Amino acid sequence: MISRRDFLTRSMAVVSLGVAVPGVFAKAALAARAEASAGAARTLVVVQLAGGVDGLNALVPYASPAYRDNRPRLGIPEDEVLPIGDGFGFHPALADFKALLDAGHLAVVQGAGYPNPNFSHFKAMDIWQSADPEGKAASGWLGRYFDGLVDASGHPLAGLSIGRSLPRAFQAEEATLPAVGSLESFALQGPGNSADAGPRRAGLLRMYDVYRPAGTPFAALLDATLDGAVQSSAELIAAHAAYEPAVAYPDSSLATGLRLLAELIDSGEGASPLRVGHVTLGGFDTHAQQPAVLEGLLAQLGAALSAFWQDVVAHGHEDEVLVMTWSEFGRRVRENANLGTDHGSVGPMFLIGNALKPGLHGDPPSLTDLDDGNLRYTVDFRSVYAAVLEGWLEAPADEILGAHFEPVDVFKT
Amino acid sequence: MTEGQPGAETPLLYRRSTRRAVLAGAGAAASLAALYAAFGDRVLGGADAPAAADEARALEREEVRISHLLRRAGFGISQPELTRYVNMGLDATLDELLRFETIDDSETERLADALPIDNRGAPVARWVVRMANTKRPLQEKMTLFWHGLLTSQLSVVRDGNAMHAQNEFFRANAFGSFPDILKGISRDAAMMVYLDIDGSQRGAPNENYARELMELFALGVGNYTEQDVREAARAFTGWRVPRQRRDFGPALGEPVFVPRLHDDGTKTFLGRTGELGPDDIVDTITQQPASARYIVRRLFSYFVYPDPSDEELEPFTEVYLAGGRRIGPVVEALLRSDVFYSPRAYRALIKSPLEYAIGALKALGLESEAPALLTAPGGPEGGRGGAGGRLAEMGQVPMEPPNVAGWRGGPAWLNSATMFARLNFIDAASRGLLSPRGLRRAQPELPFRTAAEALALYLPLLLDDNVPDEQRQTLIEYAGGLDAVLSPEKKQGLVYLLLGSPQFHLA
Repeated sequence: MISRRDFLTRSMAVVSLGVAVPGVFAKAALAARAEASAGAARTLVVVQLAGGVDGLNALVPYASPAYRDNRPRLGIPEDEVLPIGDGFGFHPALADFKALLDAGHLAVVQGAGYPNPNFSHFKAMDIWQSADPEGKAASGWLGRYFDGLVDASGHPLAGLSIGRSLPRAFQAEEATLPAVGSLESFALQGPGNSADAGPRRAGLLRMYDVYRPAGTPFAALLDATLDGAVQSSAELIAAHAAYEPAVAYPDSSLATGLRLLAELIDSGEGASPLRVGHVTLGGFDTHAQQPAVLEGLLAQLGAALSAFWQDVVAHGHEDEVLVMTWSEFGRRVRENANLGTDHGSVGPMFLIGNALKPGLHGDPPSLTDLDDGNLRYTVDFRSVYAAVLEGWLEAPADEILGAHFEPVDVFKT
Repeated sequence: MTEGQPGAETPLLYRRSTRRAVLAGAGAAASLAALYAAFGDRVLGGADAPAAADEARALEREEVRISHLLRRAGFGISQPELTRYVNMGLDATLDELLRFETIDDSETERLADALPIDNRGAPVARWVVRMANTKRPLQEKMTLFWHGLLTSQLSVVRDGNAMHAQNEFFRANAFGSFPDILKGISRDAAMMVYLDIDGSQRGAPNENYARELMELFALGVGNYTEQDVREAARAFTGWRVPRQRRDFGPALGEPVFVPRLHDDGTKTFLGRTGELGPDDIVDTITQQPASARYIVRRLFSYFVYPDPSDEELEPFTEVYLAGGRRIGPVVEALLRSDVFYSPRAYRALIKSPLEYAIGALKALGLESEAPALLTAPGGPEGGRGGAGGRLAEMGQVPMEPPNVAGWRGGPAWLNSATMFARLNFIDAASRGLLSPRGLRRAQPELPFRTAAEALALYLPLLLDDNVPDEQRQTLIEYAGGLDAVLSPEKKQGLVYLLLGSPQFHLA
C-alpha cells in the first residue's frame, strides 16, 4: 500500500522533472516542512444552526418595550430570562451558555448580518457559507481557507464535516475534505466478522496499489485517495476507541458529532491534525408553535456544547479550541398569528473559547428603526469570519473573504 | 517569491496566493488543468506518447471502443447490451445511439411514469430510473449534460413538477439548437424562479439570470462587461411565475409576461443596439465566436477529455457553426472522431457518482433496482435535499447540484468520504443490500462458479479485459486459484474487487 510519504515522494519526482508545478503539488511538497513547524495547532469548530434561529428569543432584549410590543405572546417573560447585562438575557433553556459566560468562556456578537438580506433558506445559507452576499462564489469560505493551507492535500483530516454531505462552506477548489456521517459509514464496509473480511480488504487495497499505468492521469490520485481514506478512518476509529470522555455527552446527533471532533482533537502524539470541524443542528425554522420547539433546540445546543467544552478542558485542549455558531438568518421582529415567527434578517453569533473577551460584542440592533419589519445588521458577519481567520486560524482573511472586513474585537490581547 | 512559499507576514501554515481573486467564480478548469499539467501530457506524454499508449492499446479492439463509447455516451453497459452492440459493430452502435428518436423507449417511460412526482425526491427517482433503463442512453446523457450546464436546484425551486418539466424540456431538446435551448430555458418556470427572472421588473431589473447566462451558461467570463449584464437584465424583465401554496413548496404555474413590467426601452448589448428582448439577447450571445468555443469546449470536456486546446476544438466548432448551432452534429462529430478513440481519451475522465453507480447496477443486472438508490431520506441534520441516499453520500444528487455552477466533476468527485461511499455502494450491491438499512434486498445473479469463469465474464464487461497482470494475480489469489469452486461469499467478494477496482472509477 502506498503511504502518504510515497505519494509526496512521487509528487516530488514530478517536481524534479522541472515542469511548471501547479499549486497543489507545490503545497504537497511543502507539507513536511509545515508539519514540523506547525506547533500547537488550533482548531475551529463551526456549528451551523439551520433553519434560522429566532435571535430575539435566544438573546432576549427583555428590557425593551418594543420587544414586548412585537412579541405579545412569544416574548420571554422578564422573570424567566437569564440576565447577562445591558438589558439582555439568555433564553431560559440556555442555562449552559449562561454558565459558560459566567466562567469567562463565552462571547456573543450581536446583530450579525449583511446588506440586502435574502430570506430564502438556501440562498441565505449560500451567502453565509460562501461569505459572498451576491452568492456567486463557487467555493465556501472554509474551503478557500483549506485551499490556502500549505498542507491542503497533505492531511485528509485537516477538515472534518459531520454529516452526510459536505457543507457549502467546505467546498474548495483544490482541497478535498470529507463529510463523515458516522464512523460506520466512514470506513470500508464488508462481510463483518467473516474470515473473508481481511483477505477482501487486502485484495482491494492491492488492486489500487498495483494499478500504475503510465499515461492515465488518475491512477495515483485514486490510490492516494483510498489510502488517505483508509488511514483517516483508522485514525478516527483508533481515536474513538482510545478516548475516554470526561463527561457524559447528551444523546443527540449534535453531541455525537461534537464528541467525534473532541476525539480527533485529542488524538495522536502531537498536535491534532484537525483545523476546522463542522457540525449542524437543524430545525430552527419556527413558523408555528415556536416556544416548545425553540426551547428544545436551545437546550440541546447548550447541553451539547457545554459537554463538549468541559470535555475539551478536561483533556487539556482549552487553549486550542474555538467554537463559533451561525444561522442563515434571524426571525422577523413581530411574531406571526401561529405562535411562530417568519424569516428575518440578523441574529447573534455565539463563540466559545479561552481566548475570548467574554460577554456581548457589537451594537445591539434597533428594535424600532426597522427595515420592512426586520432588524438592520450592526456587524457584517464577515467581520466575525475575519476575526476568526486572522485571530484564531492565523490565515489571511482579506484573501479568503475577497475584501477587507475589520475583525470584530473578540479576542483577548 | 515562488508560489507556495509562505511570506514573512503570514504564518508558515499559510501561503499567499498569486491566483486570481478568490471570488472570481467557477474554478473547476483551473484545478483540472493543474492535474493534467502534473500527471497528464506535459509530464507523461500526450496523445501520441508511447508511454500513454500502453494501456490505451486496448482501443485497437472494437469491443473496447464500444465499451468506451457507452461509458461516455451512456451510463455503462450490461452484459446483454455488450453482446448486442458487439454483434452490431461500432458503426451501427453509433448510428443507434445518435438516432435515438427512432428507438422505442416506451418501456422505460412506463417505469418512470409509475413513480409519482412530489416536491422532494420523486422526480429525481424518475430520472434515475430512466438513466439506468433507457434504450436511448445518449439522450439521457445529454439531458444530464444540460442539467449540469443550465442548472436549477430542486431545494430552491421547491416544485417537483416544475423540475420535472424542465427535465423533460432538456430531454426533448437534447440535440436541439443551442440558441433554441437557451431561449426555452429562459422561459422555464423552474429556471425563472431559480435565477430570479421571476419578479424582475422595469426600473429594478434582477441581474442574476443575465449574469449566469453569460458567465456560466453560454459565453464564459472575460467576454462581456458589467454594462452588458445590466443591459441584458433589462431585457429579461416583465415575467411572473404564478404560484399556489402546497404541502412542501409552491406549485408553479405557467410563466406570464406582463408587458407593463417589461423594460422595452433601447438597450446596447455586446455592441448591438435596439429594443432588445430575451431572444435578441440569446441570439447576440450565441453569435459571439467565444460562445461557440464555450459550448463546444463544454461538450468536448464532457465526452472526450478535459481541457482541450483551442486547436483541438476548432474542427468541432466548425461543425457547430456549419450545422446551424445545433448540438447533435457536434456530438456526432465528437463520438465519431479519432480523438475520441485516441490514447489520451482512454480512462481519462473520472466517473460521476451517477455513472459509477448506474454502471455497477447495469453490470450486475440490477438496473431496474436503481430507485432503491434513493430510498434513504436525507441526513438527520435536515440539510438540503430530502432525497439522495447513497448518491448524496457519493456527492451527486440529480436536480440538486451544489450551486449554479453545477458539479465541478473530475478530481473533485473524489475525497475520502466519497471514496468510502462508492466502495460501500459496490459492497452493498454485490451482496444484494440495496437500501442503506438493508431493508430492500435484490440479489444479483452471479453466473459463475470459479475465478476463471468470473474473470472471463467480468473483465471484458467491466474493465475492457485490460488490467495489469498484478491485478489479475490479486484476483486469482483472493479466489484461491483459478479453478477452485467459490463459496457464495467468495463470489460476492470477487465481484466486489472487480467492480471496486480503480479502473472502474474511470470512464
